[in-house]
Amino acid sequence: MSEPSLLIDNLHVTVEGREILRGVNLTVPRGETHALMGPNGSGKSTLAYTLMGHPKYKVTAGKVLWKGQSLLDLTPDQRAKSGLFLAFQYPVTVPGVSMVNFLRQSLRAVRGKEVAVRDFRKDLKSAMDVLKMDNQFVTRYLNDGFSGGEKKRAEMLQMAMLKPEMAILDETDSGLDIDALRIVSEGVNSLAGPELGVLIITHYQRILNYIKPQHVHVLYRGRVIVSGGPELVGRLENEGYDNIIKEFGPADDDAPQAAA
Amino acid sequence: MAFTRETVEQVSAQRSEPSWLREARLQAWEAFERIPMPDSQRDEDWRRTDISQLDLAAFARTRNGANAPELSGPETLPKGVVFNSLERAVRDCPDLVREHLEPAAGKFMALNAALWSGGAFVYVPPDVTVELPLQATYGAESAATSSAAPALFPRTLIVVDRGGSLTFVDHFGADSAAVASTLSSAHTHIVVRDGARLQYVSLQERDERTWHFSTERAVIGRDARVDVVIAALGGGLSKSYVETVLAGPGTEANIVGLVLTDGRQHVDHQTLQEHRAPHTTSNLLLKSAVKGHSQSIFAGLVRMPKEAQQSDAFQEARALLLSEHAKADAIPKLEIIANDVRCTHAGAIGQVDEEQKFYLMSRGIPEREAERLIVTGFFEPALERIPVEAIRESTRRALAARLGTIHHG
Repeated sequence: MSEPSLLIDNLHVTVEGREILRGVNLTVPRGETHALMGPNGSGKSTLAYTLMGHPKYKVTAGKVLWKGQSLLDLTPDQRAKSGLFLAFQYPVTVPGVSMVNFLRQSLRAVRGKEVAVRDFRKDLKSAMDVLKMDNQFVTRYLNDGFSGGEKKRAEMLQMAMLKPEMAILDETDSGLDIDALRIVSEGVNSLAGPELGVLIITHYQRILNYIKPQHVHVLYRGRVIVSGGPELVGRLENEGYDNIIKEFGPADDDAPQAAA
Repeated sequence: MAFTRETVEQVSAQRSEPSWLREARLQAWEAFERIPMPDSQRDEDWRRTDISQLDLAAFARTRNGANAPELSGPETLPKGVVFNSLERAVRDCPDLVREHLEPAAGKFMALNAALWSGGAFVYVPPDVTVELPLQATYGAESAATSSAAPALFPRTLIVVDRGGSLTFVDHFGADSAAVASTLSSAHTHIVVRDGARLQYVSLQERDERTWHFSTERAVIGRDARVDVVIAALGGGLSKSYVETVLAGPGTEANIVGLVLTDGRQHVDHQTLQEHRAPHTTSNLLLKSAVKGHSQSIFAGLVRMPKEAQQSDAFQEARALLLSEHAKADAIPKLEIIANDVRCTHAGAIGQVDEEQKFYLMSRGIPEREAERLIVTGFFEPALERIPVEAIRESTRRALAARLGTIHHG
């Protein structure tokens, strides 16, 4: 096992005064693909947003080390520059800002220098080919009027252009039909490798038929209750979450208190 | 009193003006004296714009320089097109100027009518198209004639005859060397005859110590189309009347307003969409982004009398508050008598969306830049309504430049 790239240690997070993450421990070594699975409301998206630095999510305890440095002191843009990428479950619409202008600005910011127009166009073209996207796509406003599938593909396009070291895919599979899922998965697989670590967050095992994780973690009520190999996916598929929770989950009195 | 009846007579005499113009100036002067100073307590139009701190006696008319705009356009113009100072037009085509002298409708319009000099005039003959934009740049003047602060009276008259076509820009610029506050009282009168087409832009980038008052009024004939772009980026306090009168059937007027302010700027737009004929369409979109302690006010009146049957009027005002102390107001007003018309208005005042900002920042874009991108995007739908590309791009550049100063100021 290589050096841990992302190390989450006893992470506690509250949202609007309510504790959602209650001591998450998780390690994703450099270049590996991990899956974080869990039923609805277990805190999967909270973890994704917290790692990217959304201001609504308050870390109350614990730490996150990213390439040996504390991640939590960085602003979201600094996190992006350090090589972290979040593919949003619900990509945000920004009317009046074209995809192509946004991508150039983003790339310039992440690389810290101007990107030659010719190189930019070449990279964009090849990334769009992999994702089977039409040329005129990038002239549209960012996520504005995009279908569910188009939004997810646009996220993958950004990932391909920004070339992060760690990508967190938050429910990238949700809302995708089987063809779109295959295209998006191929996009991820073409980028995954020693240069890119991936944390796939998902409720369903479906996407894991296309993107094979080395490790699987199950999040339940704000904690990782079990980590294992790919065989855990098969167990979840056959038995559902109930048996796993019964076996590894907390006692009932440990349930989080709902906000007053 | 810095302005007197003698000042008016002097301005006229120095130019050996014809008696009709001299009379018109004196009538305007009398109107100016008769009309009380607008009062935010008393005048509905001025309720949100308080000018009690404005002391007209502190200002003096500048010498000719600052009132004579710099006129720019292509080297050669199609035959019959007149593009000159308004002063010159009084001598060269007095009938056209005289025909379009309007009775002054307010305190500052009256002051302008009494004291203007220089000015700009353009006439486009029937069925003639002027391809490239013509522009009048009204600068400021740093040195006043006396110890008083400078007063400027820009005046533009545009006449596009039947089937003609023109793009025209009024640019109210700033003088970076200005040392005192300036009074700027501008009037642009636009006549677009049957079947003609005009794209008109008013770009206001006055110094932040300037009091800017303006009236931009277009009277539009049958089947004619006018696109008006109002960009208010400068001025300390400004109050602008933007009026379109759809006088003939089949007429179309599109009005796009862009306001971008910071500091203590106060910008007040009062618009009128007056439908005087059937089958007319007017469409107004005003977008304001305000920062610091600045304020943007919009009051828009749509008037559809009986004669306006089967007409459409749309009005939309959107504001983006970029700081907690900035303010925006939108007051739509409808006077609809005709019963077979369509009329809608929409308005919204909001802040920069935190989710949008987070999304952009998650892609490496720093906070300020992300905000700038969102503001740029906010103006984009308004920019897209500007049909002439050169104008769209120059407006975009002016906005970007102002946005730059706002974010680094």
